[in-house]
Amino acid sequence: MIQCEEYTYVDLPESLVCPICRGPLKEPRTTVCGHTFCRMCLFGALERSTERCPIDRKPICVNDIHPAPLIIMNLLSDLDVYCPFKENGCTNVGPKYVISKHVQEECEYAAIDCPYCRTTVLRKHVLELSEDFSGNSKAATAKVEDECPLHKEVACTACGAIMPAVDLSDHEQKCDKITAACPHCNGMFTAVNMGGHIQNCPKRMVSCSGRPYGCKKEDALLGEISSHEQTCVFASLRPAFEAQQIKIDKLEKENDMLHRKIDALVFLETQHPLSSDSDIFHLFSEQEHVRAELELVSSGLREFELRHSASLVAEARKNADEVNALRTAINGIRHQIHFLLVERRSMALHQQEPSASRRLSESRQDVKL
Amino acid sequence: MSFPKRIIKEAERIVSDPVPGIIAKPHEDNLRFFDVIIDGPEGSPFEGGHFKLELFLPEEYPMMAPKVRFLTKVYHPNIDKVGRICLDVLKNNWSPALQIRTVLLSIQSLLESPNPDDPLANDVAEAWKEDSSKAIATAKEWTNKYAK
Repeated sequence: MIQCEEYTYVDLPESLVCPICRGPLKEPRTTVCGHTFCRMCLFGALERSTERCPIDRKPICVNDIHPAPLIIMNLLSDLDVYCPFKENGCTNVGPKYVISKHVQEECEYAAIDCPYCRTTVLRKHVLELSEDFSGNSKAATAKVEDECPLHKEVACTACGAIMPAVDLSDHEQKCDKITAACPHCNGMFTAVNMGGHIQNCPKRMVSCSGRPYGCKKEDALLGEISSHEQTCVFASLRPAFEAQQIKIDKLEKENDMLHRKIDALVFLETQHPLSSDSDIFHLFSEQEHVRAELELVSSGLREFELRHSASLVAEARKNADEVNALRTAINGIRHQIHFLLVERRSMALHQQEPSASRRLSESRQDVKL
Repeated sequence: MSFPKRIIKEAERIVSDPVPGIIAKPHEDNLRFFDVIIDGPEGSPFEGGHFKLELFLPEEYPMMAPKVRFLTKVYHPNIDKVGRICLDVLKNNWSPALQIRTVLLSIQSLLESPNPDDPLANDVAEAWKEDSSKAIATAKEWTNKYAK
């Protein structure tokens, strides 16, 4: 079993990126406020800080977190990923489930355990070896006992460098002591230079690059074709055609993706249409109920207010009457006091007068004596 | 040295798609260290200045906020003498969904709108409250002196 946890996505849409680790969502979890994160990232964030959603800071707790809707998982597994052994040379690209099967069963560049010794080796070397020994398996098993046929030391026949047997074929591709003849001009070149030479070999027969778009020119030597391409209408239009094709491919892919999204949504709709409808209905009836109650309360309030203000008016009138009555009573009392004061003053005057006359008569009597 | 993917991605993006008025360059030997230059916002007393900062991503990043410090002297009520910054998202309002670029944008907007009611440099905040036009003149003077 080859373990591979991390896949590299060919083109990961921003909506499927975890806002915390900025990588593709792993075991996605969704909060009550509707934001989705990797499980580990979200729990890590909640452990460190106060329990708030990292996006909108709404308070959340562990019970408010649920696995993300299935549609998110489906969208993630439908996206194209690179084969994890891309660095070893595998060019395979496809949806995740296809690639994981490819890695387990067929990828030539997957690192697997060497069947002969305890090292790892690329699967293609094991395949090459079993082809070599096909029909003579006994020889293969016999060799196992003394030396691993994949990791035994061998020498390059051209330059004499010593290396494990598995690396020999790669080395032969690069060894500058091995030369081969160009199939077009018969010149001798090393493996490294051969590719570059064949591209520019003047003896090579090539076809016009406008051929797929309708050019009728027959295959000819490289020089002739390159001068033809200067004037060929189809060749000059090729970049435009290619750009169109890329655009069409991209749109088709996007269309496919949208189709899948629609399918998933339609599926969800057909699964739970009743419950959602009844939910809405329930909410509506609840709303109506609340509205009726509110009207009842407000009419009651209005009536109470009316009654209250009427009683206030009556009370105010009563108070005003009472105040008036008190005022007249006070006036009466004031008059009486005034009257009494006047009376007292006149009484005092009368008493003073007889005493004065008495004193006068006394003085008269003194003179007489 | 290996770095979390997020740090590598953020470093790549901030170099290839920089925020206007902000340059952030990661150290070649350590992607957790950034040399930052923030241009003073237009219409603020810091206009025309280029302020150097250092930014460090701690081991716990993004669960903990990056550490940011001004290296250029700034006359600002929320930035003290040694360049420490009083900004909520760098302290208790940090969220792991924030990024280097959002933090730097917040610092840029702090330059644009100083907040003397939540001061770090008390003397500057007092001056700002007492006579804001004089404080703004001082900030301009410092910008010309230290941030050119």
